[in-house]
Formats: sequence, structure tokens, C-alpha cells
Amino acid sequence: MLRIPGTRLRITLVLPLAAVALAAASARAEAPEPTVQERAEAYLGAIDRPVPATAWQALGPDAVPFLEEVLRTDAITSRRAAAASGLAAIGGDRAAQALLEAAQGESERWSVRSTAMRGLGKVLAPDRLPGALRPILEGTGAVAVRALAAEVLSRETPAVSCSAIRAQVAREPTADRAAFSKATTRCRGQ
Amino acid sequence: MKLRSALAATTIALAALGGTSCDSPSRNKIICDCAQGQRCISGRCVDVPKQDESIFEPTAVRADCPAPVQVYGGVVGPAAPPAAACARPIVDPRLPSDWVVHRERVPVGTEISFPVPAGASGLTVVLQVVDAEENLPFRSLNGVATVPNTAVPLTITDPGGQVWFDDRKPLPADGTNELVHFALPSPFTGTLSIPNTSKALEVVGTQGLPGGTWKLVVSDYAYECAATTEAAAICGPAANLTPAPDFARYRAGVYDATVIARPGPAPDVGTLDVALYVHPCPGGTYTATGACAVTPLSAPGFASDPPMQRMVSSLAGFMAGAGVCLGTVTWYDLPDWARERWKSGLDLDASTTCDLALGQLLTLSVPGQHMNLFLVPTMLVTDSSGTPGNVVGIDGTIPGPSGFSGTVQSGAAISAEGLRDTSRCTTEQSLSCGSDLTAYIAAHETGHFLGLYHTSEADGAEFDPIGDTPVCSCDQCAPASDRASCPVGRGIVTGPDCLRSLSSCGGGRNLMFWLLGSVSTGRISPEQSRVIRANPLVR
Repeated sequence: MLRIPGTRLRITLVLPLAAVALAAASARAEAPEPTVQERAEAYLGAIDRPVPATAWQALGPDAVPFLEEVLRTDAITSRRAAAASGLAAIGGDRAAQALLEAAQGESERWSVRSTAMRGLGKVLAPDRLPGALRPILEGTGAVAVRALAAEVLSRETPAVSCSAIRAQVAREPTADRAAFSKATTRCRGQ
Repeated sequence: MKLRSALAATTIALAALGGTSCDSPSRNKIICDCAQGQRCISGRCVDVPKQDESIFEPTAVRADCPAPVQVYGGVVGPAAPPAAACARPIVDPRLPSDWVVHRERVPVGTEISFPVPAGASGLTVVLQVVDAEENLPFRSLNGVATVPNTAVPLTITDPGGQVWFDDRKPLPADGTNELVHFALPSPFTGTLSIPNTSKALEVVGTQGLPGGTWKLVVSDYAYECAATTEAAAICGPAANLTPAPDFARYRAGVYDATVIARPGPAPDVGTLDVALYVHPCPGGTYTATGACAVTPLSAPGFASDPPMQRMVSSLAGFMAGAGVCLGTVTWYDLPDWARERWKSGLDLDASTTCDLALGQLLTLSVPGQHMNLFLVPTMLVTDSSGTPGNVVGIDGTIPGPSGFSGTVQSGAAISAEGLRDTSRCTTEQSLSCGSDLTAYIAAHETGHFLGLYHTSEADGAEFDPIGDTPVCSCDQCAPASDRASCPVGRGIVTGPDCLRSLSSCGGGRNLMFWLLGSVSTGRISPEQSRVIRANPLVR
């Protein structure tokens, strides 16, 4: 179950202090600290609760090369998508480049590509985002991908992107225009 | 990780352990009165075997199961989408008729009485909304939040007057000594099931539930806020926010309340039927012409599709580890309109308490005493910071309304995006094989539906109410460099963290750990198995 912390009607769980003290006093043999890569590897296995962006960010830029490798080469789609999520949270130029490649990958799976495109909206500066996503908006094959590019552009850079979005919608077959509704709604008034 | 061999090597029957009795009041058994080298497991001191992991974790007796029977069930649901954008069907239970001991449509605050046969092994209350508030404001650490108006009894009392459940009481740090644990929002259709804690298993295990007339008070969160004093401190916005809500003006909810009492003991080896609903495009990737970019899934073609067959076989293996055999697996197709609506996957960001993207999908489930699993193309989710997240499974509620197919909480959804990622599949079961991975996710979500919580949550501060699943607490098990984040709830525990410390961390291999990965074996503890086998879905 995707859990929603803090929405419980009952009073927030508080670990009794006595239990904490006893636990701390118990004998414990510490193993070496996990490496950043080991930590990132573990985060790729989220099932029904996403790894918080703050957890990815705590790994810092040292996690980027590993996540980049997973995104580019891993055989399991959900791991690639999770790597894209981690890169989107951590950010930086190298992460952005890896996300851009995934977003532009015509043969990449939708979950990976959509995570990468949404991630670009987070990590790319507003002056760079249109240059990254407009080619996808105007040139990619699948309508869902074009529509998502429009959605991200309309959210992050509406002032400079909405005219291009409207033009693209006008070029779309009538049956496909509904897919752009989120973007066109945001672009009203722009 | 070779899952099958690991399971075989570590399967230990508690009955064979013996040992002197001991008091095991707290979970994780850090503290108990056993000799050195022993641990207190379910009230007995047992020698701790030397294993290649942090602490001893008992494992359920694995069932020896025949292969499940598989059939094609046709196309489900209406041919056209429902007129209502937010359908909330009220359905009849499809369980043995003598298990249904009460059904009544009543307003919140109503006390209802119902008979429970002596020795019953389980009790389930299902509240289906007829009319109620959808959301209510709620005080949180960050000010005000909106929470779903969860349907949950206010109290449940046995014939001797013992209160088994009182939703006004604070959630304890250790849930194992609760008679009932209920910890998740559950709007519209709320389910509460007994037993789901160690304490309740102890009671049910010795003499079954007390027979006679039980009572419960039908309620929801809005009623608790409006009509009880205990909730006043946490209902509504913070004091400095105005206007304050007038809870007395909330309309009183009306619910269809059904009580299920399972007579006699739960089976030693259970049988679970499964309904699999298939969207044809795993991954949701399409070509420019709109065709699915990977080989489509076809429910009628299940028998000749190796990844689909491997997933079922693997799911059967995981459930066998819980002491449950898969009986009949029925494959269903979604209607054309549903294929189109969910063609890009399940948009969890679109979920609200009314327009539940998941909930509306779950209403398509067909009536029956079976587990409903929807294979969707993928799942999309965004966190509060706007960062795209990644999840691969989602369950309606914990537990789910077993036997009540067709409600907004009647099953779970599984991302099928990895089902055809078979390049690393070998003859061994492995999470590097996409079909096995999909099965693991399906088994995990089935565990939730049947009543199991995560053994340890991501923050390492919340744990399941099961005593024989070790906890992995942030302040004990997270890397030392991260522990400063634990008190503020920003720590994270991973599977390897839970194997690292030698004396007090565990649970990372468990099927119900919040992450899957290299250490996952799909292990289920004896008490987890008992919770599952007591569920009304398990025959």
C-alpha cells in the first residue's frame, strides 16, 4: 500500500524513550558503512512507496555515475525508471544529460522516458528546458510522449513554450488532442 | 539471489523448536528473559542457529502445492464506461453464507450486535459507504492537511465486555500487544480484520474467538471528529487558522456494515484463488501508429506466453512460502474503454478520494472469493517536491475487503512493465528476472490485501504488529552517518541495513519489507502466515 505518513487520525507514533535507551545499550557489532553505490542500489527496489527525494539527495552527486549506468544499461525497466527518479532528485549537469538521453530515446520504455522527461523539468534551468523538450514535443512518434513534453513545458516554462504547444496541438489529429488537455489548460491566458 | 534454495534452507517449523517458555512482550525481542544464545520466539526460548544474517528469523512452513489451475474468464466490466465519474458500488459478499453473521445499513454512531460462533478463527468488518463526507481537515505537524474520511468502527467489544478495538486510542509504538491494529486511511470502503496482531493470534490460537454476542459501533473519521472528545485535539486545522471547521455540520455518514465470522480453525495449508486482469500493453510504450511497442499480453493466450506462465509459477512459489497454495488462476481481459483509459498506466497523482484512479480500476473486479490483481502498464507518481517517483505496486487498503469484489478497494494493481524483461531469466527464481520480479510485487501486494503491513516502514520508525518479524529501526540499523536523521523521520532503512547489525536488526529479507532487492528472499514468518491463512479469502 502506498502509505501516506501523518494522515492517521490517532496521535503520532512516538517511540518510548525507555525502549530507545535499552536498544542503544544493547551490544551491537557495527559493519562498515555502506557505500553510496550500495545505498543507491537499495533505493532502486521501491515497491509501493517511492523513495523520498530527500533520501536520493542525501546520497549526493557521488551516486550519479552509478544511477547513470543503471539508467543506460539495466535490463529491468523499473530499475531504470527508479534510477531516472534518483537522478531527477539529485540533479546537476551530469544527471541532466543522462535524463535527456533517456527522454530522447525513441526505443526507451514509457515509464523510464516519462520519468526522465518529468525529471528534466526539475533539474534543467528554465532557459535550457525548451531546447531539450521542444524536439520531443514536435518530433517524437508516440502521442503520449509528445503530450507529456507539452505538459512539462507548460508547467515549467509557460511564457516561452505555450505558443509552440498550441502550434503542436493544432498539428495533432483531432482524436489525439485530448491528450494535451493538461498543457492547454495551463497555457490558457499565456 | 536464488530464492527457492534460500527458502528451502531457512524453513523452520516453530512447532519443532521446543524450548522453555518465556515472556516476549515486545517485538524484535531485543529484551527477553532467555539465556544467552537464545531468543524468545512466540513465547518460547529457542537456540539461535548460526546463520549468514543478523538475527534469527523464523520462517513459515512452506506448503507443498500442486500447480494452480489456470483458465480464461473473458472480458470484465461494462462494455461502456460507467456514467458516474466516481463510482462507489456497494456489493454483496461472495463468501460462504454461514460466514456472514450480520449485515445492516446504519448511520455512524449506531451500535450493532452480531453473533460469533465459539472457536471462530477470524472476524472481518466491512463498511461500505452509502453516503458520507469525503474528506476532512486534520492537524498535522505542518499545519493543516486533508485526509480521506476513513470508514472504521469506533469500537469492537466481545461478549465478555473486553474492548478489542477503540480507534480513539493512540497507536502504540509496539503493535504486537494490540488485539487489533488499524493504521491506514481507507475511504468509502473500510475493512478491519481479526487476527492481524500477535496478541490476537495468541487468543485465536488457543481457543478461538470468544463465542457469543459481539458489538461494534459504526463510525468514520468525520464522526470521530464531530462526536467524540478524544479526537478534538487532532481534528481540524491548527488553532491559529481560521475559520475553524464546524464538525457538527458534517453530515452523518451512512454505511452498509457487514460482519464476517470465520467458523472453526483456519487451514494449516490454505488455498487462494486469484483473478488476474490484464492490460495488453506492459510498460505502456506505443509506436507512432498506436501499437504496443512490446509483445502484448493476451489473457486468452496465457498458456502459450512463457513470461505470463513464469509469473504465475513464481507467484505460486512465493505464496507457498506463506503456507498458501494457489488454487484457480483466472485470466481476464479489460474492456476496450478501460484499456484506453489506463493505456499509459495508473496515474497515482490523479488519485483523489473521489476520482480514485486505482479505485475506479478496482471496481471492475468480478465477484468471487478470490484475490484481484490488475496488471497495469506502469505507474506514475510524483512526490510533494514535484520530483517523479517510482512505484511498481499498490494495494487498495490493509486489509482489503475480502470477498467483496467490485468496490473501490477490492484488490491491488501491479506494474507489468517488467514482465517481459526476461533477458536475465535463468532456471532459478531470481529478482533479476522480470517475470519473477513482477510475481514478487504481486505477492507483496497480496500480503497487504490479506492483512500484512510492512515489517518496517521506510523511516524505520513504524513496524508491523507481528512479533516474529524482527524490526529494522532507524536508530539501530541505519548507517551511523544517517542516524541523526532518524528522530526527525527523515532516516531510511534498506534491506542490507537490516542485515548489517548483529544483534538487533532484521526483516530485510521478508516479503513484506518495504523495498525489494539483492537480499530479498520473500520470507514469511509463521505469524504472518497465520494472519494470511485466517483471511476470508483463503480457503
